[in-house]
Amino acid sequence: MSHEKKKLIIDGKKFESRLIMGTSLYPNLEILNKSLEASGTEIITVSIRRFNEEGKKFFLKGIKNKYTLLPNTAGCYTKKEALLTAELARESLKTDWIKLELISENEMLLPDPLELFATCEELVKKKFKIFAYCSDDPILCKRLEELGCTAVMPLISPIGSGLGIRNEHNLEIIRSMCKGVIIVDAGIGSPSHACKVMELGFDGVLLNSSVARSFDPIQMACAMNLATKSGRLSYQSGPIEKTKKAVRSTPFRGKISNF
Amino acid sequence: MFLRKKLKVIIFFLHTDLIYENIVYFNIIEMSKKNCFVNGAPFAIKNCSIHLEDLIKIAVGTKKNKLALAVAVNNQLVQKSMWKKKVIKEGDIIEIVQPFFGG
Repeated sequence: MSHEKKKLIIDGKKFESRLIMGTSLYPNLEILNKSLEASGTEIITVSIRRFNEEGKKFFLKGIKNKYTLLPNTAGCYTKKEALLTAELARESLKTDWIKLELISENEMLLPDPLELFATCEELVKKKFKIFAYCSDDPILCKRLEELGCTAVMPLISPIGSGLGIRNEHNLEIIRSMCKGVIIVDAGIGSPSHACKVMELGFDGVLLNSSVARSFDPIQMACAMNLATKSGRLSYQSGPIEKTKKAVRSTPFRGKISNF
Repeated sequence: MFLRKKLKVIIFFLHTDLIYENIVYFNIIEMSKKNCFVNGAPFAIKNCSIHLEDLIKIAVGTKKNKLALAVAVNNQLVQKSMWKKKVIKEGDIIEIVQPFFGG
């Protein structure tokens, strides 16, 4: 396996790590920084929010500047809101990358597929590089990819739920139908979920709550790092086919006679 | 008799609602005559107008260049190169944003 084969390529840029980390909900900046370090991530997500007095202690100053920033449109419900937030993010961070989140309601925070698709159409025209957070509907994922999204990011369960994979079959279909960059976003609860997602052949994992809200975020970040790598290695190594009956591993030949 | 009393009570509450709504509406109209709104809060404008660059200096302070700010006026992005030229008038809605923690 060549080293190149291991790299994730997004928008022409190569990344060693396939783990994208959110920066919210950490107890403090020190733990956030240490967790990001432990996760081995190279891409982190940020939101765009109103400046206030606290903003003078600018949070990005406290974060090591080695990371590629992926601004999001978290909290947007409408195309109009998301378009303006994306424009503001581009102006603020000088990046065309935008993680497009358009939620439909407050309880499950599920993405609104119709509003998302319409917004993507507009943002593609404006030359944005869209990371589209969407539901785990294979056809929607395919359509978003065809539309020109840089990455399609289906959820595996609701944001912050930690429920893990709810519909593995859908994920398998998505992976087989979409040939571009597919990153699982939302719903990861434990490292085994991240590992499983990577074993299914996805290009990466984006997570936040499962690390930030854990008892020991730094250690959990390390576990997620290992799980993501492990899952990817497993996928690339070609796991054995599943069978319904046992397949002997120790050769029978040469065994002493039955008695 | 009882119904008539009940009806009077309902009419009273309807009246108070209308009065309240009118006061709120009146206040918004009055405020917008004298202010613009910066991040949702009223911001007094002297001499009827102010340049966006100057408004940002007042609202944010002098270190604005280091804060990765972006600004929208009336839901339209105003690029940094236009801050000096953009004139803010009474009733304008200004959003000053910057990156923050996010997932």
